[in-house]
Amino acid sequence: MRAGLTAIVVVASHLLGGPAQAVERAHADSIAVVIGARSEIAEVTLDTLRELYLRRRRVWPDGSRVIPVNLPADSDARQRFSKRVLGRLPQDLSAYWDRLYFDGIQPPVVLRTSEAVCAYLATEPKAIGYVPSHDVDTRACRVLFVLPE
Amino acid sequence: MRIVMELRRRWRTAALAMPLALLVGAAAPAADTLVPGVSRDPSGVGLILPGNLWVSGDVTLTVEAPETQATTFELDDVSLLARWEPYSRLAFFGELRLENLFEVTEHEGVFTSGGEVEIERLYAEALLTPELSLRVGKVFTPFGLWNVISRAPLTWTVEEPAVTENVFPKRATGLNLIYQKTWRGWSFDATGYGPGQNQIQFRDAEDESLDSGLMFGGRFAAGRDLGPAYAALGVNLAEFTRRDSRRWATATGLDLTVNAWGHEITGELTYRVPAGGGRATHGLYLQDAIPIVPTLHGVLRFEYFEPPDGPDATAQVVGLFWRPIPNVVLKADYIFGTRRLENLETGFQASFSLLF
Repeated sequence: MRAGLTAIVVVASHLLGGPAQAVERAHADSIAVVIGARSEIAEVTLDTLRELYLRRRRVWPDGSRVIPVNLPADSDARQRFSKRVLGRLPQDLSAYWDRLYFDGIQPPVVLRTSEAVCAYLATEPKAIGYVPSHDVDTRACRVLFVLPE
Repeated sequence: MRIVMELRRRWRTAALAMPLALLVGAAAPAADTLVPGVSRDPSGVGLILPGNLWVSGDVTLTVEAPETQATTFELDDVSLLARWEPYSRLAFFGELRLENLFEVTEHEGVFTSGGEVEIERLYAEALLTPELSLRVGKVFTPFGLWNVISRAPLTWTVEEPAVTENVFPKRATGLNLIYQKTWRGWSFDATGYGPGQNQIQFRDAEDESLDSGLMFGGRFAAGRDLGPAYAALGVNLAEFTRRDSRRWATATGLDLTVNAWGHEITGELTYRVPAGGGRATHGLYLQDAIPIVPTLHGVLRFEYFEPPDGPDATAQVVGLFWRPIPNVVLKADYIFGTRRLENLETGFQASFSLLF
């Protein structure tokens, strides 16, 4: 009886794109917050990440400049990162950046690809970025944490 | 006196020459690096020069066709902004404004002057901790939302709401302590400032027309995500006195921001109790910037204002804000109102701004 039920669950989960595949897909689509492989930054919380990417916090605790790195505004990873971390989509933040521009504070630099983000982080230990988890180049960058969905 | 005149003349020359130099940079082909050591700001406006020096500016042309007065066309102002960060924890910021350069009034003709140079803002900023910073110098009074933007290219409409004008001192001079932190998804902003208005109280000051006197104030705001929206609410308080008076006026206010589905909804409510009693000045506005296409917004605003004397007024503003490229902003508004006030002029207004 139990074996029969298990068989039904396995068949159903395959037909419906079952739990194993769902976990795999979620992992593939998740976003990793990354720093350079040789960076000394040990921990960044979600709250701190918001501060860094809104440029409300512009120095690390040791006093060095924070260099947050963005992907292009129209990329899927940027859209999801912005909504999840900053609470707003990139297009909803244009007025916010206008106000900071007025104080001479620039938005995060934009690099076009995940490869470019990891390559840049490898050379700049004070930079922080994010890329889709499956794009992490572990030779160049280190995952701090994966954004909760 | 001669030295002051000479300095003003040189500032005017510099203020006119800098935009030309920056315009050359703005007109250059889009590239991260224009020449070795000089790059364009990621926002597309402004230049980053060697030594962490950032420079930018803007020019605004305005047309006003009030319902009851002559139409005017004016070169409203030229602004130059610079920020220099010699160290990661230390920055210097300055904004120089050249205004009233050129005006054409219907039936009256052309009016030109050498322009008036004003130091809008000038401060040193020290990042004391990652959350706490201190500005020393002259800043826009951190009261509400509109007063700290206050620049023609970046506001959604040509004219500011009546309640944000002349209800509290526009600038604060002295110390401005700013604390910003996000905790469990809540973003907190707190700022305190003092001890002066635009001009701190100098007994021997010659120019009585300047805002001068003492001022102390603060703002606290909290914001967070609310489902698909982001909302923030701020509370404001300022106490100030004119240099020729020992009586203190009090301005209190609330401000609100909501971002949702591309809309930016903002509002302010301000109430000022004058020094020595008398009738309070109060008012509010509620505004929605509505996305039409990514570069074009419609703007709707409701205003209510009760001046210190005379009857109150309500107004509705209908406008368009178009930013086809990062360097250009075009605005057109029509203000409907129950009556005309000095700072609430009914009729048509439009502006063209170039940021460089």
